[in-house]
Amino acid sequence: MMNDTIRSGIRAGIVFGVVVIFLVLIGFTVTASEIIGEFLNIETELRAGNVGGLLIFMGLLGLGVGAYAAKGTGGSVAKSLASGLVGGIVTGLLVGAFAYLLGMLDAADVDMRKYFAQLSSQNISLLLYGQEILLGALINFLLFTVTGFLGGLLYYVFAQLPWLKRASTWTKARRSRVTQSTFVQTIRGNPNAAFITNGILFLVLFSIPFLFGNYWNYTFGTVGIYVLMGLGLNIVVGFAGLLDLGYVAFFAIGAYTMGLLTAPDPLGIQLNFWIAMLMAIGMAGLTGVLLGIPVLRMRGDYLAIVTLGFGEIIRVLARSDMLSSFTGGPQGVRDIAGPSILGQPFISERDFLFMIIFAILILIFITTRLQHSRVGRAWGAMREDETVAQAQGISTLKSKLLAFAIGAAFAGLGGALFAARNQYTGPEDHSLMVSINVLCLVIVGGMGSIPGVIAGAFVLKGLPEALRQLELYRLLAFGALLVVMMIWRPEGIWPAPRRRMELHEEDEAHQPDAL
Amino acid sequence: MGNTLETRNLTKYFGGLTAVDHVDLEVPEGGIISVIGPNGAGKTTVFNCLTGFYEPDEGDILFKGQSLLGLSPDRITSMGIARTYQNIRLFPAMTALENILVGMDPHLRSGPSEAIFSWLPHGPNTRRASIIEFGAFLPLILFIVAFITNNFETAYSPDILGGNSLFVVGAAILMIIGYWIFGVINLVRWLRVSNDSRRFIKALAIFIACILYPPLLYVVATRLLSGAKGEAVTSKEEEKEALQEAQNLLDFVGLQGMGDQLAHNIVYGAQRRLEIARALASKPDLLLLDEPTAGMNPHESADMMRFIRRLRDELGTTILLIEHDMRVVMGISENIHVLDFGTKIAEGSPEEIQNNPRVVEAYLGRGAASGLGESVAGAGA
Repeated sequence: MMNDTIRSGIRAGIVFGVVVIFLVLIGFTVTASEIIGEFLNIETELRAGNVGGLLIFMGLLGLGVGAYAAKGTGGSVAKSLASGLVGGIVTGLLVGAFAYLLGMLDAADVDMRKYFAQLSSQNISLLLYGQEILLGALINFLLFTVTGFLGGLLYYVFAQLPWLKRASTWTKARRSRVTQSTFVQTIRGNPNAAFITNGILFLVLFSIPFLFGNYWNYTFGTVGIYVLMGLGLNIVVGFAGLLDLGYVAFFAIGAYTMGLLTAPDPLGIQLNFWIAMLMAIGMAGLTGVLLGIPVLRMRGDYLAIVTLGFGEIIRVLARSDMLSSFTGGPQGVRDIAGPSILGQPFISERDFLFMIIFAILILIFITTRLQHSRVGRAWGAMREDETVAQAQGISTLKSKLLAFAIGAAFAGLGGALFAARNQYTGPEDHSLMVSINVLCLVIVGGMGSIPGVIAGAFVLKGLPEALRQLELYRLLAFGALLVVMMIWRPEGIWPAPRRRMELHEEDEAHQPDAL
Repeated sequence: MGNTLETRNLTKYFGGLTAVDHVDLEVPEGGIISVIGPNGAGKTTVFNCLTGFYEPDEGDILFKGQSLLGLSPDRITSMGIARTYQNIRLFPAMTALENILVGMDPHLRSGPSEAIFSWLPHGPNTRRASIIEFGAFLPLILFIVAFITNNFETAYSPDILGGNSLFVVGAAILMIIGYWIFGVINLVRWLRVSNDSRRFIKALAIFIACILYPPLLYVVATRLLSGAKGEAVTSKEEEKEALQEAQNLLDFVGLQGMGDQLAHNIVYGAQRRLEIARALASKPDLLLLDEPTAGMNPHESADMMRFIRRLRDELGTTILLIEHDMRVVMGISENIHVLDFGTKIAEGSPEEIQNNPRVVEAYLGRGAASGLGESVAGAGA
């Protein structure tokens, strides 16, 4: 019994110790300490980082160790405290030893930046809290020991005490009482209710561009364009189950069609924005079909690899010198025209945000209608079992091509708006990262779910904009977020009800009254 | 009565293995025919050839006199063959009703445009009318072609069309005017036929919406007209009917009230029935059942037997089944084909098969054949 407690503590301690060392190696601790210090106005800056901020950051991690260790035991107060303490000590030992080692190496004038770019003398001295080597290492050790113990205590207080459990069941009961109350039922039953709620939603949506300044309108616009693409990829991946890793290709085709048709260089066609937009959508849809034809027979992984290649081909072609007289080459296309309505130019960030919101609403409408039709059902059957779907008389050929075409057309619209908003598009706008971002937002949001796409876009594109300082660690956060999501919430942030049912069957079975 | 299905010299190789070797099957209309044989005899391979999963290497398959060779599984299904699987293959994360609705797919016509514009009736049924409707979009294509070639001419390429693009544009404009006139005529005809209380407002809205691309008016007005005449339905109406029909099918196979359950939550026996319901949803003339009683106890098998007979008697579906349970085979079949190592070794009524020494040999081995013939006969009784 005691063994379990200690083992759980040691496991948590090692996991967190490694994580902390990793964060130090990539220099995340420095950035984090600066952000926390700035946020709380702690004036203990060193040459790099902020001592007070680092203390708080490390302390929070220490609480995490304790809670995680205590969770492993799931027992009494003594167990929670003991495992928290053990976890804290282990992490403290690891981090302290690491800090001591770094301090000694630095004192011996070894240039660690050859191996880890972030391990400069300043950063190491921050890790030692600006103190002597031994004292700094000791502070690390003590900090984790104390906070680990506290973490165990906190976990016990919050998760193990009976009063909290009672409170949580009470909120559940209350929630179900609210949803089943006559008031809510009447509202739901009222035919005008949907109309009114939608009206309010529209008002809120279309007032967003007025509420914020240019910077935020631009940011929301970017998020919106990713929502457009996410809605399209959601059809391909979420509904039809075709894994497309080269989705950026259609975005690029939309953007380039818009650019080449409206810009003075290199083609000099200078078409009207609206016509160019329609052609961009059509062109992307057509390419979707053209890509779809050769990959019809492929399934799963093979399809993913072929589409991945296709995405790169488009980017390389756009960049190549051979086609530079046609596509603008590495410089891209400049001076792309913006829209105008009745002679009024319509090109500020706010105007574009309006257009993007409008486009999102239309695409959501189209997606919902398709989802609940024969077409959507055929996609679903194809996703579940392609062979059987075909044997049931569904033309998988048509269904796949349709999914590709519609998904591509959505991306084409996104690309066209993107190019017109930036008045520029070049090969670097269409890297593989865009495909991965869109795929991630669909997965993180919840495959096959429209609100999920929006939530995913805000988390993956909106949050990084809000936390500009963490720009460097965006990819890291991406990876971490994906791993965490796949473990704890594989169905996504806001899943389609169907998928939630699939993945959380046991939970539902255990608490039939929770619904 | 003619044969619903006939195979002639059906042969399928997998590498050096001859899985099916010159098999002739005849399935008369309205019959219940069994294919039996030891494990690995090639029964399921025959089914897979019939449904288009495999392409036979030799021989021919005739369904109602037409050859099925080279057709894709979905074409074959829409011609009237449906099947179930040895290891149940439902769409696990879809509800029972949705599974059946998927089975109805060949009889539904709503495409994406009807799904998005739920007020728009289906397009024309005949090929001629479809071509005319497609023609409404031809001017658009012509315009794009003329536009691209013109721009290429001026900027890059040598004369591709020469002065012809003017001709192309002229033809396109004539077509647009023609379609628009017929569109207006059909819109007026719709106004007369329709009993929609808001038809004038709708007509005005459609008229204005189609100003951007006038030929569209023809497509919309013609479809509305055929909808008002009762020749076409909207996707909404179609879905409603389909749902009702699916509900009926669910009742028919005895799964009342299970429509909203996910397929993989349904108990085993009911899954078998649901799979049959899904197959029936495509209104097949020939139903292929691959071991419908596998994994069932004698009581359930007897139920299933009665059910299969009911299918034939009430719906008139011809049935071809693979089965291992001799009690079922002997009790239900009118004719039995026996396969062994890919070749057909016997054919006949249940009595004939029971007394056929080659069949007994195939099942029990050469040495046992002489002594144990009676026990197979006994199992069938």
